[in-house]
Formats: sequence, structure tokens, C-alpha cells
Amino acid sequence: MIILAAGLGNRDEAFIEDRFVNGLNIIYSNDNNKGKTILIQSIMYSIGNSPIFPTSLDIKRYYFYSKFAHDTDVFEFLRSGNSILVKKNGVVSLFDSITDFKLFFNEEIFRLPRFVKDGKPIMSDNSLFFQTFFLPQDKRNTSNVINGGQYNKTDFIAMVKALINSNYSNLDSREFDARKIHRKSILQEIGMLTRRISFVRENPVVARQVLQSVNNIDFQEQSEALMKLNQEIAANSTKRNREANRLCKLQTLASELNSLNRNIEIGKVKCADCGSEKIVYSNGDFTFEVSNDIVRREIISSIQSQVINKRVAIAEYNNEISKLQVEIQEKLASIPIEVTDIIISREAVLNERDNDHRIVELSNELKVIEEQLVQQEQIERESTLDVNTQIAAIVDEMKRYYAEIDEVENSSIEGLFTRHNENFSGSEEQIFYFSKLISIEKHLRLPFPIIVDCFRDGEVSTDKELKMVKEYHGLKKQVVLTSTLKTQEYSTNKYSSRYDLNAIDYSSFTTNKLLQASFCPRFEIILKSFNIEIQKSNIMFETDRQGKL
Amino acid sequence: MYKIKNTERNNEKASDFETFSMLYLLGIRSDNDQIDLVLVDCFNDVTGSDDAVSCLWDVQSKGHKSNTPLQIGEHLVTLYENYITAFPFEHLILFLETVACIHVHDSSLKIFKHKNFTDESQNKIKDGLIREYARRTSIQLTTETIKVDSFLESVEFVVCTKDKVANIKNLIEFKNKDVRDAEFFIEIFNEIRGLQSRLKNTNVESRELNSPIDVLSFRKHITKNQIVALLVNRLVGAELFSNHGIPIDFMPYVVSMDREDAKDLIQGCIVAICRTFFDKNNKVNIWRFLESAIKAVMKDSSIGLEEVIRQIPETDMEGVPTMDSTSVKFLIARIKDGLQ
Repeated sequence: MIILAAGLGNRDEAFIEDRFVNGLNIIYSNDNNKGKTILIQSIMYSIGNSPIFPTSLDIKRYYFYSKFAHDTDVFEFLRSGNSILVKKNGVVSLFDSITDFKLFFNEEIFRLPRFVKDGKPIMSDNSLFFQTFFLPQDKRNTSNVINGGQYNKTDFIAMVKALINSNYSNLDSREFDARKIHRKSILQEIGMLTRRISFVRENPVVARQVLQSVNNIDFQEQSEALMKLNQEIAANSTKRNREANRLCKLQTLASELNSLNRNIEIGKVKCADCGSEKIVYSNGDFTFEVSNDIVRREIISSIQSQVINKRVAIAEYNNEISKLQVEIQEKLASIPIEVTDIIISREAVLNERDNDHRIVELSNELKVIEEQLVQQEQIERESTLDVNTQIAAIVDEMKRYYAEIDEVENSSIEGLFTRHNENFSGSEEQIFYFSKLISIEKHLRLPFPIIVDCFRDGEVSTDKELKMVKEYHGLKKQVVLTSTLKTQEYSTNKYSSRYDLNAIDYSSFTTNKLLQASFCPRFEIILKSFNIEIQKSNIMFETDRQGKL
Repeated sequence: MYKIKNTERNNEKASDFETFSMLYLLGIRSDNDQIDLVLVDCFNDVTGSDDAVSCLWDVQSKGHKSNTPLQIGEHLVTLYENYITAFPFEHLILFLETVACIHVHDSSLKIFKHKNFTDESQNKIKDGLIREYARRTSIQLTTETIKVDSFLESVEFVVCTKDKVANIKNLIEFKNKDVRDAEFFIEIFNEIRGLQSRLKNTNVESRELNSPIDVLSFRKHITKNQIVALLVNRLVGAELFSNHGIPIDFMPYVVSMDREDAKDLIQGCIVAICRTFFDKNNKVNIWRFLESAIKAVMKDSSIGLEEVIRQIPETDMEGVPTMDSTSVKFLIARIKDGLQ
């Protein structure tokens, strides 16, 4: 995205800046309070950033505007409160909340990074994401994110990692877990089959008997009878379980109905004049009750009788089941011991070959899963390694820049943020942020301009400043910086004499009076292009029912 | 223009009697299919009307143990006052508890005209009316006597059949309704009486109406749909669990299912309907939904469940969150089954 123009205003006063170039821009003035911060904040606010305006500006009273070139498209943004209008190649859309706008931004402009926060995958907010290329003048804090709200530096680092590698996921381990569970079940089945096979091998006599007696009619009859009994038991238990489930639901219903049947009473209405509780509504809802006592009694008593019926049914099924079990025991007792053995071990013996096959199959499947798991772990390890390496490289780069500008041997920089109790300030802070923005830019190459409000705050020496300007220049992309010059610097045409940068001078503006009536006609044309007519008091966007303007 | 006067509040017995007169309009009268709603205590004790309020059945109900012809004449005064207004009072009905046989020619008639009274009684009735009218309005009816005669000729005298059970039962045809005992129907009678007397408590005395249809804005009426929905709801509700049959229209939804699964599904539906019928805090929405559903079923009993559901406005459906779509189908199938 390249900034083409930005501004803010209402019917009475406005300001528009359109002198930006696709290169190094420095907005400067000979004194403070000329409106540089208001302009920079307007740009960022119009694209969904949380505001850090000077307190003197009542943001509710204004529209905030910006115009960007992005790829081959031109985007214009107009924000009022939490509503943002976007005009893309002439088509206007309205977003009623910053969240809606974020989704638009994600789809149409830049895929916002996803990372894990509090165990949940989330999409980064604009405000957090913008800190990869934007540095405001106020609320700076080298040990944490700026104006973070729900975000902290851990989130910022997670976000940068996601920007380095969008596949970098500790996002979703469900697939991984599913594979592990599958592996476990395969291992269990293999174990069971192996035990059966070894039983056959260890009991050759039984095995032989089984094989010989399979075709024996007597044996077949016995075994079929047993099988039938077992099936009956299974069928009965299913029915019993279903009835038990229904019983449970009916009992829940009965207790629930008692609570639903209670009216929600919200105090009593009394006549203020005479204290009577008999108040007559002239236009109330006159309806019947949804059920009456007789119907409710009927329902409750049928539920109760059904509960009893179900209990009886369950008891009967239980009886039936135990009867069948007794029958099985008796049957087994009456069968010669060898036959019992045979019946029990029948499956193991008869299916020996099948079991072998199945084990081979399962082992193959297991191998595939093991490989997948190894691969997955490998990818995970590699991507973690890769991301961490790159983060380390960014930090190294930061250290190098810091050392170079500050002309120190070793900086105390250890990461993207300083330690909790170690807040840089003054020129150190300025150079820290410079190093951070440049390093992130060099590694991520994000398609956004670098924007630094007050880039040489804290008495950065001219020498250091020149080095920084040179680096910004070397990025070969749009950079917008602001700076307040000292009288002496101003008089020597410090920036305006340089042909390699676009110097924009705000000194001529009256202090604390960036907004001017003379810009109003132009600002109104902009608003009209969004189909907005300015009214004096009404600053909110009016929408019709369809949410269109 | 019509100015509302003399509305009244009365005791339980009188209320009973007014409920009888309402049920007479909705269920007993041969032209009851033309009556869509009954206005309570607006023009008269009860007044039947079509949806558009273009035709009115005006009923004065007098639940007195005995009436002399002179008193009968006095009772006619509101009907007469209505008769001489421009509003469409097509039918004028005096609803009485008894008429002594000495006053009439044929005492076996339950519905009769003025000429059934003996000549002497006819004169007394006329005297009573003229006297009462004069008392109320201080206008002596002499020049208007012709109007009085034509009025008396058009009045229908109806002797009440004071059977709560029969009056309620007659309102709709519903399968198995005879299984229910007297208490069941008396309870419904009492519920209707309750709503009627709540409506009566809304005071509209002295309000003025420019057009008959404006009377609906008072919301002092009970619609036939409401009463039908009440009965259907009570009849379906009472047999919710005890009816073990699967309604015919619901068969397609369970026919391919395993027996145990079907049992679970049906129990689930009944449970949802139960919750709905016990939810006292959502009654307005529940009635709206029920009335739409019953209206659709009654309009054309040959249409299938899906079509019935299509005819129920979506908002009515959404107003009853305790019912999922399968339970809605089951309930409508039960209603269809009953009404057929």
C-alpha cells in the first residue's frame, strides 16, 4: 500500500495532505503542535487502528480520510466512530464495526496473520499488525506492545512468527492427536490377534481337535445354540439400555416441567393513586394459558405411569437376560469339557490364517502412520526451527543496526522487546525502534509504508539522524517520517535543500490550528464521493435497512 | 358514529350466562360459520361479527330466573338502541334463561320470533321497551312506533341450553373427544369465561367509533380461531402421552427407521411438545404459532405436513424455540389426525 492522500474534517473545518511521494517523505515544522501527529494518526485511524490522538482533538466530531494505492487498485477509507466506509475503484462498502472491517482488510488487502492466543487460534487485529511498520509518537514502551489492549508482546512475537511462515502451526494439533489415537487402536488389535495365534501354537492338541470337530454335527448344534443364546442376550441388553435411556429422559422432563410451569413474577403492579392491586390494562395481551390444570395433570400422570411402565420393562429385560445367562451356564456345564474348550478357542483356531493376514495388514497400516507421524513431527520441528532462526536473525539485525547507529560495541538488545523492567528512553528508545522497524521490514518485506511519527525524538544527534535517514532511504519504498526541527536547523533548510527526499513543511500553519475552513470545499467533494452529505450535528453514517448507503 | 354506553361488570353466574351466549354464537347457531369473532361488552353483552365487522349479531343476554313480558320489553332496550343506529346490526338476539309457558303460544320452541308471544304479552313487551327507553333517554317513543314494530319483528328470542359440556363439545369435531369427562369440558368453559371477563374489565365506556371496524382496536374480542386453537390444544395436550398411535401423516418420517429408533424419535417429539405446553412465559408466541398451524390444517385437510408448515409464517415458527422441526411436524400430524 502506498499513501496517496490523507485528511480529516467536518462541515466547518478540514485538512487534506496529498503531497506524499512513493519514496522518503519527511513532514517537519519549526515548532510543536503544528498537526503532524494528527495527520499521521488520521491515516492509521482511517484504516482501523486504535486512536492515539492528542487529547485536544475530539475525534467524534470528524471524519477521517485516507487514500492508498495497492497493487493496481486505489482504496479510499473514510472513518467515523467505529464505522468505516471503503471505496475500492469507485465502489463504496460500509463496515459497521472494526471487526467487520478487519475481515474486509484480511480478504481484500492483506491476509492478516493467524496465531494462537490463550489456546485459541485467532486472527490478528489491525492495531497489533500495524505495529510491524508503524510507530506512533505517544505511549511508546520498548518492553511491550503499544496501546496493546488485549495483546501483549508474546502475541506480537507469535504474530511475527506467523508472518514469517503462515504454515507455522502450533495452531491445530487435532490431526496429530487423531493419528496417535489411530496408532493406539491398531497396536491394541495387533496385540489381541497375536495372543490368539500364540494360544493356537501353544495348544496344538486343542487346535487339532477343533479342526477335526468342526464338521461334527453334534458340535455344530451345540455351538449354534450357544451363539443364539448370546445373540438373544445382546438383543435384550440393547432394548433394556434404550428403555433406560428413555426412562432417564422422562424423569428429566418431569422435573423440568415443574420449573417451566412457574410464571416469572416481576413484582406486583399497584395503582399509585389508590394503592389497589387491581390494575386493568387497556391494551394488554389477552390470551389463554398454554395449558390448563387438567391437561397438565393428565400429562404429568401419563409421564408417571410411563416411568413405571419403563421400570417394569427394564426389570423384565433384566430378568430375561439373567435367565439366558443361566441357560448358557447350564449348557456349558452339560457339554463335554473338550467341546467347551473347542467352542471357546474356535475362533482363534479357525481364523488362524485370517489372523495372520490381518496382522500383516495392520502392521503395514501402522508403518504408514508411524511415518506420517515422524514426518509431521519433522515438519513441525523444522518449521519451528526455521521460524526461530528467522526471529533470531531479525534480532541479530536489530543489534547490528543499533550498534551501528549508536556507535556502541554491544547493545543490550535480546529480542523484539526489551525486558519487562528495562525500558529504553530518549535517543536509545528512538534507535531501538528504528532498528526494530528496519529489521522487520528487511525480513518480512510487508507491502505497507514505514510510518514513524517523530522519528528523531529524544535529542538524537544530527550524525545519528543522517545515518537513520540513509537507511530509510535505502529501503526503496514509501517511508513517512515526521520531525520537529530546532530553529537553527530550520533556518539552514535542513530537509528542504535535499533533492533525494520529499520535504513537507508544516511550519506555516497556525499552532494548534491544522484544520482550516479553506479545505472544506475539497473535503466535501471527498465526502460526496462516498455519498455523504454533511449535516451539522449528525456525524454518523446513515444506512438504510439493507446496510447500504 | 357510535357512542359506547352502559358497559357492565357482573358476578360469576351472570358471566356464565354471557359465556353461554358467546358459545351460542360460535357453535349452536346455524349460521355460526359466518361468525369470525365475538366482541365482548362493546356494543352489547356479546356481539358476533365477521372479520371485516360488516355484519353484526347483537346479543343481549339476561340470565334471570323468571321474566315477565314487561321485563322482557325492558331487556330489549339496548338492542333497540343499536337497531336505530347506522351500524350493521343484522341480527338482534335476546338470550334468555327461561320464558314462562303462559306467555307464549308454543313453549317447546327454543328459538322464536315476537309473534310466538301471546297478544297480551306482545303489548306488554312493547310497553316495557317504550317505558325503559323513555327512562333512559327521556324520549317518549310515540312517533317512532312504526320503527318499534319493525324492530320487534326482527328480534330473535333464544332460550339458553345451559349445558356447559355440550356447548363446548359442539364447537369442533375432534377424534376421541368423547373420551374426555365433563370436568375436562367445564374447565375449558371456565377458561373461556375467564378470558371473557378479563376482556370485560377493559373499560371503553364513552369511547366513540366512526366506523364499525374501529371496534377491533379495543382488542375486546375473542376470535373463533382462538377458541378452536384452545380446544385443539387441550385435546391434543390431554392425550399427548396416553395416545400411543403414530399419526398417519407422520408415518413417512419413521417408516424406514428401526423400531427402537422410531420410539426414541417420537418420545423426543412428545417431550418437546410437553415443554412447549408447560412454558407459561411464552404463551403469546405459542398461541400465534398454534393458530397459524390449525388455520392451515383446517383450510385444506388434504395437504401434507410440509405444505402446512410452509403456510405457517416463519416468525410464528421462530417464536417457539422449544419446538424443533421434527416436533412441529409431529404436533401438526397429531392435530390433523384429530380434526379429520
